[in-house]
Amino acid sequence: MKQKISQSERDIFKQAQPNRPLVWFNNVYLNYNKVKSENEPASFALKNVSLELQKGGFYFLTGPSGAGKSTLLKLMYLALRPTGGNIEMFGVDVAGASRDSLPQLRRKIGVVFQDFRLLPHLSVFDNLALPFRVRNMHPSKYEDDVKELLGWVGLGKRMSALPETLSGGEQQRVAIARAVVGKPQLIIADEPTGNVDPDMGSRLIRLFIELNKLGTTIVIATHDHEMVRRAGAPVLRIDKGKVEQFNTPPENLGGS
Amino acid sequence: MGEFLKIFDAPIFLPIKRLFGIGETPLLPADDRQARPLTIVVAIMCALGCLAALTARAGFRAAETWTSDLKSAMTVLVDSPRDEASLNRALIIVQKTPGVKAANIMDKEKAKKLLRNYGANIGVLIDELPLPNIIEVGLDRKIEGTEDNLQKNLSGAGFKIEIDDHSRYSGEIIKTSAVLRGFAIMALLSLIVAAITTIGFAARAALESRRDSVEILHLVGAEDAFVAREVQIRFMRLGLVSGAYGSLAAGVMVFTGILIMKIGASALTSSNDILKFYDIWILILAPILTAFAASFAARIAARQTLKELV
Repeated sequence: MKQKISQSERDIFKQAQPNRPLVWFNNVYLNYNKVKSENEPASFALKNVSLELQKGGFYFLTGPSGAGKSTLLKLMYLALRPTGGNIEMFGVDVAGASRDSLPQLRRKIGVVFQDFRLLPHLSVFDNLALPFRVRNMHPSKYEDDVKELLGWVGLGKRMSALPETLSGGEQQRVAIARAVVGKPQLIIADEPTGNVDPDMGSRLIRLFIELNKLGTTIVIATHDHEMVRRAGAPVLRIDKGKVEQFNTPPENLGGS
Repeated sequence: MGEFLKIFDAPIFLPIKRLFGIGETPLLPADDRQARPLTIVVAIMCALGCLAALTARAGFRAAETWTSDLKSAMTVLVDSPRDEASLNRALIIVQKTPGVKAANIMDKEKAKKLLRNYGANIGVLIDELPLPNIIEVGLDRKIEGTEDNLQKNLSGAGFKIEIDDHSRYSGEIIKTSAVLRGFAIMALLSLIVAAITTIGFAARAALESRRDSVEILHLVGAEDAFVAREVQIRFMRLGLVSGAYGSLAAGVMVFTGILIMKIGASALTSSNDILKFYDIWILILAPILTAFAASFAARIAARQTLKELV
């Protein structure tokens, strides 16, 4: 599938620096509450976070509940801006990027949520077509791709179904297909196996591995330490807002 | 037929299909609990707006017609001599004066009616009063100076006369009509502002209630302009539908009003229609204007809200 590059996309990627990590965090702070006075202590969800994710890498994010995993992921998929520090995504400084330039970067990221976050009034087909519709593409240009992908995730015959009529596993496959359909460079998955049975969980992980082999960078937040150890992939361990990066799974993955 | 319909699959028709909700499911659908009352409110505002615009139009035309009628006619009161032969002589002089299209002596019954309007108040018998000798004059408005010529010709022939050119009435009518039109235009502007504010508020509420969907759209790469356009299209459609209902309601009200006026009308009110059939353009234009106003209000409100949302 050929996709046109708009002028605004060209402008934002003109700033991109070659040979930089795909994701680069440097001394990143995030505070949800606005500090009203100097005497009021700031409560940081993330403190002094520095990390690097290389293009084509496969990473697990582990840590106990409330450690800041979701916050870190939100910063990665550009749903939040840092309170302090620098973030580079695809070689572009996103902390200082204008609001109008963020959509171009978000189109390079596919996100899979634990609770799927499918639009309930849209059919399976329409949910999958979202990344194309927001780019004002004509249906004739993406119909075949969407149908092919739906067939690939085993939902070819349920294209017209609404999400509420699907099982948890089917909804998760639609969510993954939606994250993949726009051919992103980075896929971020928050507990993708949390709401599916172990068998489906294994199949989903195999799917992510296949995507990684095609060159897509994968970040999976999970509590499933067994899966992390089996995969042997690099780990980002977060606890109390601080992040440590390991090339292989450490003994202590943090939390349960 | 099926092949012919495929023409509408062309990219050029996509925005039109989106406006009318054909083909693609809206990404941010209307919440019926919000859309129904809003449709009714906007329809009522549109109906009131149409009535205000039609009132302004009618006021303008009525004033124009009445002042035109008044300026096209005058009356000559012959004070002396008061005999019948002199009055006929005066009529001939009037008829020959340039600028006079028609002239006739007001008949005795009509003159008596004029007196009755005043006589009833002072408690005298009409038949005991001397009837005024009045010549009704129709004017050719293209010719100026007719009043002066009449004055000169009749005075020259030995008549003592008074001419009433109705200017004191036309001035009052023009003033009253201007005030009426002013009120109607103010009412119309107030309704437009109220409608825009209401739709803006509703658009904000709509986005707040669909916050999750908006967040998903942003995360898959939607620009604010795209999301705002989705809201804009939805409210444009709502404006078009509400405007059509409002226009229809105003049309029915005006038509009923005209019918009632016709049934119980006097010669004065029925002789000139203050609303013409072609004034229907106001009712046709109203839904289109409502749709554009709704679209404009929704877009502005959506762009502002989106900046605060994510």
